[in-house]
Amino acid sequence: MSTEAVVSAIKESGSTRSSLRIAGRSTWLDAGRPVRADKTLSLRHDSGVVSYVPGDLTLTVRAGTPLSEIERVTREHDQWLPLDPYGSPDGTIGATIATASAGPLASSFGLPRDLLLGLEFVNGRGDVVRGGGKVVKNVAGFDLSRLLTGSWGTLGVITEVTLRLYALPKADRTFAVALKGSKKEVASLVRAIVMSPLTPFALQLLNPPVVRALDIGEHPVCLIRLGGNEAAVDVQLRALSSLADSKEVDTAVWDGLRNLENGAECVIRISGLPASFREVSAAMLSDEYPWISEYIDPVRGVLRLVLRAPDDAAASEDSVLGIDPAGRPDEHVVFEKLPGESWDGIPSAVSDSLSQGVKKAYDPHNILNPGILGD
Amino acid sequence: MTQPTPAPTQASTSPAQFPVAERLAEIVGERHVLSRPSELLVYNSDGLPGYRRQPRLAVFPGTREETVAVVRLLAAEGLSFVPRGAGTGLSGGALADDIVVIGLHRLKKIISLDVANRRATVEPGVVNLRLNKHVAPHGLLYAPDPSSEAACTIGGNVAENAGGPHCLKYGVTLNHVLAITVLLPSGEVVELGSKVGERDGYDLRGAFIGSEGCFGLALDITVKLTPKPQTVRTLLADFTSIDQAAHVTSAIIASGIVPAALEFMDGPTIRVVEDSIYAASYPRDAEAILLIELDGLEAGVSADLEAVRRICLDGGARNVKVARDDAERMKLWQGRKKAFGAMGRLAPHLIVQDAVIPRTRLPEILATIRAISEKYGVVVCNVFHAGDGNLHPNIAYSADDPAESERVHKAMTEIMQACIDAGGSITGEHGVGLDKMGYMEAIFSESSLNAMCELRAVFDPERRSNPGKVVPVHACKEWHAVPGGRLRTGTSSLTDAPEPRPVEAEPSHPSAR
Amino acid sequence: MPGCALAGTPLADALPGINACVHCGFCLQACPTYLTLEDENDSPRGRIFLMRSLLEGTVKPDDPSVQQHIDQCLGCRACEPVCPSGVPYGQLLEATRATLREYRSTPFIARAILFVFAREWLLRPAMFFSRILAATPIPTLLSGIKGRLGFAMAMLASTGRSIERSRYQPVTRGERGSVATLRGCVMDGLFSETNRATRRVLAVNGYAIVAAPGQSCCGALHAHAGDLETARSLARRNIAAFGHSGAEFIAVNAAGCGAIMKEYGHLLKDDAEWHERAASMSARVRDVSELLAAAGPREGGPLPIRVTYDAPCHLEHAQRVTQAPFSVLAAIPGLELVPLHDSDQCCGSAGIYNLIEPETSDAVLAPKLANIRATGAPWVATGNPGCLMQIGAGLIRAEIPARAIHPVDLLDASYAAFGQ
Repeated sequence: MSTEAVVSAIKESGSTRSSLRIAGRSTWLDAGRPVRADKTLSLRHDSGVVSYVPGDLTLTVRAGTPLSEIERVTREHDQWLPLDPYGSPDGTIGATIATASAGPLASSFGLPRDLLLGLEFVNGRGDVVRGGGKVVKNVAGFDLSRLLTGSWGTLGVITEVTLRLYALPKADRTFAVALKGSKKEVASLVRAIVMSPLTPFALQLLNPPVVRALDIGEHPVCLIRLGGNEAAVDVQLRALSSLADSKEVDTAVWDGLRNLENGAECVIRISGLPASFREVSAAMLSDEYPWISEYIDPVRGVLRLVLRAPDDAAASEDSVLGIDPAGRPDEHVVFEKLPGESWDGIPSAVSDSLSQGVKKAYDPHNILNPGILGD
Repeated sequence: MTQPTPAPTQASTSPAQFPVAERLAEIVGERHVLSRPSELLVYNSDGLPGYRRQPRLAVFPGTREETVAVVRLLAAEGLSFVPRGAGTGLSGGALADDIVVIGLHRLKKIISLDVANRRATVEPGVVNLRLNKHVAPHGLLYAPDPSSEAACTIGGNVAENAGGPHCLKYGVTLNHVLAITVLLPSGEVVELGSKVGERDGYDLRGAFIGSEGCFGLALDITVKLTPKPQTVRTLLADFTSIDQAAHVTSAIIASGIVPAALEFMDGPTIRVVEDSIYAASYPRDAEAILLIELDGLEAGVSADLEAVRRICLDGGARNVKVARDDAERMKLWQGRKKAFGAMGRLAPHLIVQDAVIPRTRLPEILATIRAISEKYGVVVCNVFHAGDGNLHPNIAYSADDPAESERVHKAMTEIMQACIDAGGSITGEHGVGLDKMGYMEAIFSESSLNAMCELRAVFDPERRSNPGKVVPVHACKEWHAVPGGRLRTGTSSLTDAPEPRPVEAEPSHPSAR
Repeated sequence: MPGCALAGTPLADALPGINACVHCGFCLQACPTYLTLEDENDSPRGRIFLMRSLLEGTVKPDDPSVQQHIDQCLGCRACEPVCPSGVPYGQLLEATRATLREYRSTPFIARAILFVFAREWLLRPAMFFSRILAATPIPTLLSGIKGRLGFAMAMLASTGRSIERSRYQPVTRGERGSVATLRGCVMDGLFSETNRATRRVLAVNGYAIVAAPGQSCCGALHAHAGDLETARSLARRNIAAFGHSGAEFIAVNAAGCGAIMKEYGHLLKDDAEWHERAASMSARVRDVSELLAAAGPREGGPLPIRVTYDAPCHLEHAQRVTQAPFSVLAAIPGLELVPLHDSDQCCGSAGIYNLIEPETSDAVLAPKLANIRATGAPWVATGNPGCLMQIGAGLIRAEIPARAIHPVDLLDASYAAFGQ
């Protein structure tokens, strides 16, 4: 598999007016809306490192490279790509960029758009296009890298990406603070932790079903990942101790959290003003509905709901949280995974005329992932 | 590529009233429309005055409503325009060649500040440093800090995706803008990104940032604010050889420590700064200094500070001085930030470049630059964001001397080629504008340039917003068919003299109407 | 520059200063007229561009819009301390105004004022009448009327509002050296008590006061207006007068006068006969606050008042004297200093600018008054007669319960409270 193979697959589809489902390793195939496609174009075999100069802290890989492979390669040089999207670590970097998937580390290291330096993609006419570059700072030309990030394969098939790496921290420790007490007390503790001088790598509030699944307690938990040099972690740990009791847990707990979403039928992401999430976090972290896994990033202002009872999903989501996407102008409700029939009636995020214009320009025959964004 | 000869453009038209001027005056008030050629002269260049283009008209709306009305009127008339902030850009990006300049510097309201959610919404004409002064009492800062922060506007920063010394750790404008209310060239107002959360769909906000005014203009911008670090420490390491400083830079980056900033100044730059009012007590006899800033929690910073000091000394630093207090820190920074302006002391004209190279190639490229400058007998002042590999080789010279101009031009072309060959980029933060358009084909394929043209056409199908910038139009397939389009034959090569005039045909050129 | 359009003019001589500008724009936010008028033609970078264009011939010296933008400059020189390439903006402005004078007529009111100031025999009676007028309620009564006259009356009214203090006789040992003071025109005419206070506080701080008869107007107003010839002849008279006095220092309590006197060397740079004497005199000129700060200054008696400080442009930007006035105020026990936001911004006085460009001047003054009001301080200290009257008049007309005062008057009142 190579860029040329992608070009010829797309050109062939173009000439036969048949459509393509774009897939990495097919681990996230169930995300997004159903695709009306005749064929699947898999990048599973277009994998591997193109160039890696550790001293530059940049890495160029083929799009089909699994995240776990990137982790292995960079770890040899005490570096990492701090990108930990939920789901299997066998997902590919191409899919991660294409879906703009981010995990807990995003609150300190940024979203995929912030870590991406440049990419190569093949548009719907079969043209090979490069955006950005291979250096850490670059404003040459219009920003096609950002445009493709989160476009779910509908504007082009990403074939290669260049990413910014970081040095692995000398210390990387995780602590759990049990969130006990009244709703008011919990909200004020969350506020105190977020507004403190702590600079955690990641900070998540987990509801009891998640806590039990990760086997780290019973109550809602504030999970804090502290990293950096040892002195910085020690001083933060002391600061944390002055705010609340905490216990150290294995940093592998974060992998457990990512894997919770594997095979989930329904994942909803709600994002809004971070402060509003902090204020109501206690109410949200209830233990009333064991089939709802819930975690909140109070720094970024993101709440994820993972539901295991698909038939009740719409109803319970509505009744439990009072969430109606159209009726909440202060928040964005994004349905990442839903059972097929539930998608009906959910508005597309790319129905505006600019988005439609971009789609027409880059994939004039609508052969790339048709339907996945509700278009 | 800088066109060194400042070619004074005379007013290409008689001072006869441009009919739309009166109608614009009805919108913004007579005082805020300029149509006399003598008053438009100062708008014929930005921070890179080697390029001059005389605008036909300048209009300065004072409110969002006036701005919308101005753009709608221009749209109805089919007139092209160039949005302009403070005119501090360094790529000739805000020049208007016989078309309308829309100055947004009067839109300078800070619309809202949300301390709890660490964000602010501002009008495009708000000056970067004013925003920082406004949020500082709340323990917050707006991280992107271009060296022109005291003058440049947030709108301009968005258009150029501006960087600055502290972008090494904190990222560029792109990483700090949450939402933009955009006024499209058609007059339609759209909201890109989200003021409140992370939205799905295409990242059109990301595409708009760095679009250099070609996609329309921003009416308001919502930015992310960053808590002020608990501790900030600044080191000054000085070296008797450029090579040592370059190797130390690579060693610091490779160590994994992410300084808040890591800046490099060479001997000629040090001395010109020391001669200016921003003299910062840099050692005049040094051949290079590194200005390194570390920030974060006190304990962590102290540990990193020791590590960095050791790397510097092991790498041959003569001295490593740590600023004692904020006043000394500010002084060290002022010298760095005003270095570009201080070069006006050397000669009347200045070429400023903005190439980026992979950081491991720094020692090699600096040696190449030195060899090139010796070959052509020019003095290159290097002052740059070493941590990012973002070079700013500057050459001060006199454009009145044609022989010198030619040598300078050739030297700069070779320097840029060396950076491109090293796998770098032609601009890290200044933008393409007019200045670097000639290099675009050296780093992007025809299909990539075409994809950029197509993206622009979505925002501005009539190509009326900042025409003739960023992407050379002959690179765009579909535009070859534009009636009356002036096409270049053959492909450009780096050894060609850059085009002194925009190469883009202007279907809606006012003089053609 | 090839083919200079105005060869042989003061502007052509100033070309190296113009060439130093790299167009970086750092001056824009420092410029009060740019911030007020919001057009780059009214900014330092824009005006320098116009100067360059005059030399290139792309604009003509008789172009009224060029003249207007050059006229609208306050000459506050706030752009100089922020300029990385060290453009001598004040000198460029004077050279431009001197060059443009041939192509236009100076406004009548400006001509009249400059004519009077250059002539002792007219100046003394004019100031005498002003002083008499100021002592009557007439200026206060007329200060509310609109326009230039009302403002002028408010300016006069403001001069009669200094601080009450008792008399004391300073004792000096003169160990810090001899000082001659510049009487000045406006200071002598309308702020004569401040002049006396200046001599008293210098004496208290160990300076021996010597007389310098024969001194004249400093010539600053003429130089700013482009009348360099008159400015030079006034400078020569002062150089002679202060030379004869034999004083080690020349103390000036008007920032505008001090600024030009420190630049007599530049003003007379082409005068073979006078250049050296001019430069050596310039080296001896000090703002009164500098001399006081060098002496400590001695602490006075308690003066429990709230004061805010506004920096005169010609002290802060032109002379770069920023801290000395605070030392003067710090010597007053009980004085509470309230910080003034944007205290380094011009008040719009700018010599006679407020009488010639009243609208712009008012627009520049407005934020200053708002900032003063926000401090709630009843006293605004500032060391320049133009600023004292501009701010003083603005306070009266805006009905802000505060008065403008020279820092030396406050120190003098403090010494008086101590009985020296």
